Amino acid sequence: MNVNNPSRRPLFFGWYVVAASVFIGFAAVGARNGFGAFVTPMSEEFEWNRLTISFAAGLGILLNGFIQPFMGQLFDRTGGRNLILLSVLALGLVTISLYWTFNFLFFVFVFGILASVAQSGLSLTNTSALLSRWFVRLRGTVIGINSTALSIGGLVMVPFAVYLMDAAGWRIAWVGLGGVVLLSLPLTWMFIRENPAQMNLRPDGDNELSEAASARRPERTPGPLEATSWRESLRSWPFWQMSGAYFVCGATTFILSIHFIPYAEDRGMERSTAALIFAVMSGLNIVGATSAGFLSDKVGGTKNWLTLVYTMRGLAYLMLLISPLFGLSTAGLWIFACIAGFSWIATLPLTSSLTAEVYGLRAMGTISGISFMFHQIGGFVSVTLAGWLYDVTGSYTLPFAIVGSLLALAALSAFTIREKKYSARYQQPRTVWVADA
Amino acid sequence: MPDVLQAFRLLLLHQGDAADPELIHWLKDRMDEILGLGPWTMVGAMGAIVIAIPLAIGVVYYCQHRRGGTL
Repeated sequence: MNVNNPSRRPLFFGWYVVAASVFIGFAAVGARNGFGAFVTPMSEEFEWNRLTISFAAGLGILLNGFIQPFMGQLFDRTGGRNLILLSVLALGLVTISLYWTFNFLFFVFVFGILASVAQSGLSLTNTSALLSRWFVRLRGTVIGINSTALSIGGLVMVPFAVYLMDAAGWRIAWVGLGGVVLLSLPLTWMFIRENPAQMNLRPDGDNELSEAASARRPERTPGPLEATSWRESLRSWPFWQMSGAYFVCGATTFILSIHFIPYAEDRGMERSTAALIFAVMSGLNIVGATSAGFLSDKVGGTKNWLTLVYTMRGLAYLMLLISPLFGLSTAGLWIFACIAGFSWIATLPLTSSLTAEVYGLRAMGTISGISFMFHQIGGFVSVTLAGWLYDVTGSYTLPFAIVGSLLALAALSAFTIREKKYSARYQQPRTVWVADA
Repeated sequence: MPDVLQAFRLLLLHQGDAADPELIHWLKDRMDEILGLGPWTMVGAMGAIVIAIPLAIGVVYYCQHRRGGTL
């Protein structure tokens, strides 16, 4: 095979890792997000009220946030492949076991605890850390592609669960969702490899050894904050700047996911239109995540893109709040949805790739896991605050204004990250013989 | 209702459109209106798509592997 002719080269194995990772995320998200479809039939059969059944999901989401740093550490220590394999197997079996639900405590334990722990092993923070080892120049792009699993999984797997439930009942629907998760097991087995070196390759598919042996190429110098342990990152500013901004990201997306439709209804919009706007917003995040990652790879200045994303979201919030003053209630919601949609999960590829560039890959799973925990805490706080303020003031205006104004701080926080000083991308390259490196 | 439980309920809805039972049923009604297919047909169609994804990845890999020897 002529490896020097790019048109004859086989597809770089890293792309199979990306494809497998997206499918794992797709299946796992479906198993979790499909939950909403089960609320009504399970509540009716067991005479649980909505709050009771929601407790299991709420517990799961919180647990998922708090356990993420530990799963990240496990990921960093073990390399990731076995963790992901085990998590896929566990999530599939646990989801199937919901077929035998007979009691609320059983449901809380299996769905709220076991499934959440299993899903933490498959989180986007872990798979982003894995992909960061496989790609350097295209890191943002592939993490962006990986992030779209969230949206695509919701779009396909939730209707799948609903129709399966209609056809065969909710117990079989759990089995179906678990089955789809297990379907990703062969892909995981075949394609999830811890790093390109295991396959005698180099990141981005640059390296066939025969080619490298004769090539003189610059090698990246690690940044000054490159961490061998997650503890080191806690003593530096960029970690807190990114995590603080991530807290605001969680606060502004959670609150919107939950309260947007009721808010739109409060503004006199029909529920169906509000749902359509929300669906458009969710769809746009696929474009936003992939293009943000791609642009940061191609143009550079990841922190500037991150700043732009937070600024766009801030402007969207501003539009949401001031549009009624100009008689643009419906148009304002549409404009808001379009701007906010692009920024919805675009923070993830940017934050993850910046984390990898600043702190390196050795502790990336743990560091990203801790940042993700801040994201979840932000979401929990904002949602609770919004519910409480709505009860007190009878309006969402105040909570939306509070979290919207936090976006200015998030943008400032991202903008002040000294990327050129700390990121490996901007360090003076060392020119070495690759064969000797 | 205790505030903590209320927060849990709200957090559930973070799953967004996907998790809101009313919204899910509304979306399903719209899909039924547009497509007019029975539930088993929809399950079959969606299931086929879901199964096709890993199969396609495997087939591409297999073809490349056969053609290129090593990847």
